[in-house]
Amino acid sequence: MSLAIETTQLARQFGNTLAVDGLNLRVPKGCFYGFLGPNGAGKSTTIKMLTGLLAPTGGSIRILGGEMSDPDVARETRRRIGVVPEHLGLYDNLTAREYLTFIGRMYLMPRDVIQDRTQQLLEVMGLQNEEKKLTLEFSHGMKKKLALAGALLPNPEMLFLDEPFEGVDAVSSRLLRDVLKRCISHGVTLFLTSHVLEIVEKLCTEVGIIARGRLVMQEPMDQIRASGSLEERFLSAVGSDHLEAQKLSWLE
Amino acid sequence: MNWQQLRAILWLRSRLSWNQLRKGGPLGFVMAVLGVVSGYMMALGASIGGFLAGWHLLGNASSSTLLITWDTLSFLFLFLWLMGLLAELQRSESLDMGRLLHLPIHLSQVFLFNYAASHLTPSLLMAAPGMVAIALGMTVARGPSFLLVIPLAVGFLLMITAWTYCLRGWLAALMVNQRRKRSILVGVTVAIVLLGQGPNLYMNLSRGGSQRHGGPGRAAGDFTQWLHTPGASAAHRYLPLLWLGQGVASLGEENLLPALLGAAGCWTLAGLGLRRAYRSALRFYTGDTGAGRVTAPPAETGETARPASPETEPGRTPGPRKPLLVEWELPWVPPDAGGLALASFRSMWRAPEMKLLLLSPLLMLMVFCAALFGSRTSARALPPEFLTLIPTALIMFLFLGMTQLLLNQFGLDRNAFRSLVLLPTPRDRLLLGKNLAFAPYALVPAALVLASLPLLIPVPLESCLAGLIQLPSLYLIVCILGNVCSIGVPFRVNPGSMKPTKQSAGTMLLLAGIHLGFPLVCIPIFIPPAAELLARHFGFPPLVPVNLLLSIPVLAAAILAYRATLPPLGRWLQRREKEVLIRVTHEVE
Ligand SMILES: Nc1ncnc2c1ncn2[C@@H]1O[C@H](COP(=O)(O)OP(=O)(O)O)[C@@H](O)[C@H]1O
Ligand SMILES: [Mg+2]
Repeated sequence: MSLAIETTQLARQFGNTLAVDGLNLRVPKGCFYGFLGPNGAGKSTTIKMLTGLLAPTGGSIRILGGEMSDPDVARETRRRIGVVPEHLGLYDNLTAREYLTFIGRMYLMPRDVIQDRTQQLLEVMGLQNEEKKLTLEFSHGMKKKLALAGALLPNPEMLFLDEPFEGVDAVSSRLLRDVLKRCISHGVTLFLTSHVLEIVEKLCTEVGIIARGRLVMQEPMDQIRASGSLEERFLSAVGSDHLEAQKLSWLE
Repeated sequence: MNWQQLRAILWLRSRLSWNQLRKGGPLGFVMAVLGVVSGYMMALGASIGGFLAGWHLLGNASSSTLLITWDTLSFLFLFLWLMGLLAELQRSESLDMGRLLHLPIHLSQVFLFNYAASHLTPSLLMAAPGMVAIALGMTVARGPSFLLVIPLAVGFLLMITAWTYCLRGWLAALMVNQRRKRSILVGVTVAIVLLGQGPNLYMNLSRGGSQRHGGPGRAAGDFTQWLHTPGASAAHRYLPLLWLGQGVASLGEENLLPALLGAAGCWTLAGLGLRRAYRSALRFYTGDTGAGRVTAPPAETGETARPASPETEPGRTPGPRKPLLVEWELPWVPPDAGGLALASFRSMWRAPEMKLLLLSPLLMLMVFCAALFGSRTSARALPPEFLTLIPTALIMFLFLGMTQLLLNQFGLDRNAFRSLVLLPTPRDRLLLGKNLAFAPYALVPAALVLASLPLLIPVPLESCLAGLIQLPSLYLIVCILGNVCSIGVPFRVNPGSMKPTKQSAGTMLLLAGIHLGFPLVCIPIFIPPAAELLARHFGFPPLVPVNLLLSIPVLAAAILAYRATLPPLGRWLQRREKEVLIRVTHEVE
């Protein structure tokens, strides 16, 4: 089985803190990988390094077989991946259609293909009636959907999504899930970070858990289901303390 | 007033400053200390100088001298204040009230604290101690009634700062999510520039060149004459900006009433301005920006236009839609570079700060012409060599005004730079696209200015034509420098203004150096006019347009240099893009 992502001893240091510490990820092609962890565990830092937004301070990354430390290889690999980063990267002063057209042109797609796909994506994301609005005036959820549309537009082999369900309403969240299922059925590899266990439990085929920058668990979802719920495994892997809450005795 | 809360506010502010200072590194610390020390020195200098001046110079000055002196002081302060305001039009609060809204704090305290902090500007650091010191000096020389000048002067300053604070709050409210309204910002800025330059322009344009020989002494004479007209005394009675001068002058005639009334008036106006500012600030932070009421008519028309489009939309195929600007094909440009150029151009077109940038060359032209020549007649008196150089010099100045943007091309992108990093596009194409996007902003207004120059001043037509060729040459050269700086020393700028944030002290010094050295970059375009002057000097036939002819090889050289530097700079950008991303985005705050 070929790997979509393979990291060896991946590390990132900020000042004195090790945000990511010796990560060895193995993500097979075609799987739906859920990357879980508590707040501040290093999920976003990892995804930034995987997608080339942040330089690692140690270790190496291979994405779809390409060595990412070589800038030319990394740039060419980007042609095959789509990314929805933590802080999106939208142009404030463009409309949704303009932004998607821009992305399409940068991937050198033919004009009629750009127009068709843009129209479809806008309709699916429910943004087709917002022609006049600049992304500046979009709500957080709308921005997320637009960023996802931009990531899907070049029809990538692999998608990186950082907290795609955060700040998205129930209707859109349902829609997002359907879109992601479609992607999986077309053989796209998905790498998604989240701190919401339910969604990951429902969708993912493979789960990795990171805590304080270290990978504490990496297993197929089937195995986890066989041995209990994801929440139990998560809490035991992360090492939470139920008793902490009892300290706030004055909070009646 | 709740003392404990006020202490908490002060502690919060000092903590924020301290954390900022700590992040800035040792160089930043030194510069901050230098800033504080020079502030103290300025205040101290103004106090000592003011006291001596008030004591000795104004000790037994006549009442009309007092009037002139204090009117001048008022206007001097107003001018400096407006210039400072231009640098930062939007209100930048010392403490963000929005973040304290949910706490059980008296917001009026936070508001007053922010208002007080807004006084920490160089112009006020000189004006307030200076004026008070002059008043004390006059008191020593002329008697205790001159103590009244202190409340009068302080009231005058407070009146101005309170209403500017109000204006800035109003602007901040306009900036919230109302993109059309943001162009108002531009209008206000232009108005302020004109206000500052107005008297200068008026003086220069109204008096012909022949009268200019009178010089400043003559102007002062005119002013004194004006002071004795009935219009002047009425103006001093009814215009609050003149109450300070009027009050002091009447004290000179031992008439206390105008000074008392003036002080009371100034303080009242200051209070009213502050109250208004506080109310609008509260409305602003609770989200009631008045958009529903004040801007109802434009919003309404926008709404009626909108429902119509969804009706037509479902049946519409993508075909008949008018092509978007970002869909255009640019000739000779790779499609991806063209896409970036058009998208960036579009995005900047909608950014208010770009409109400012577009207007500034025109304003500069006005100020430039008025200040240098006053009228066509006086320009004729200038040596013709000087006139040959003018178009080229003008180009240099126009670009100098744009360096903020051109030397930090990714700073304006902010978060959008992230999507550029994620693109597979070769990086030299990104640079090319960016340079192309800026080109219309840089070239079109400048070309218009050059084309209209012969109508305003008698420059040789040939120099203007040569200028039109030197313009793209300098643009290409500046683009090379701009690309180097954009990659090497990028910094984040606040949306809606050109104000840098997150700029380390080292970057700041380096950029200041680059700005100072900017004329060196312009040397190539000065070669043709200089050659022309030399040729004339040595009696070259006057019919050969040396300037024009030499401008062409300079342009060719600039094109070659630009093309040669693009690939290596693209590779550099590829290596450094992650670092640039960190610098231009918010991530570390
Ligand atoms: N730019 C940065 N500078 C300093 N520390 C950072 C930076 N980005 C992240 N960190 C730290 O790295 C750790 C991991 O952050 P992150 O990857 O964003 O966590 P999350 O798993 O919630 O996405 C946190 O402790 C955070 O404080
Ligand atoms: Mg995160």
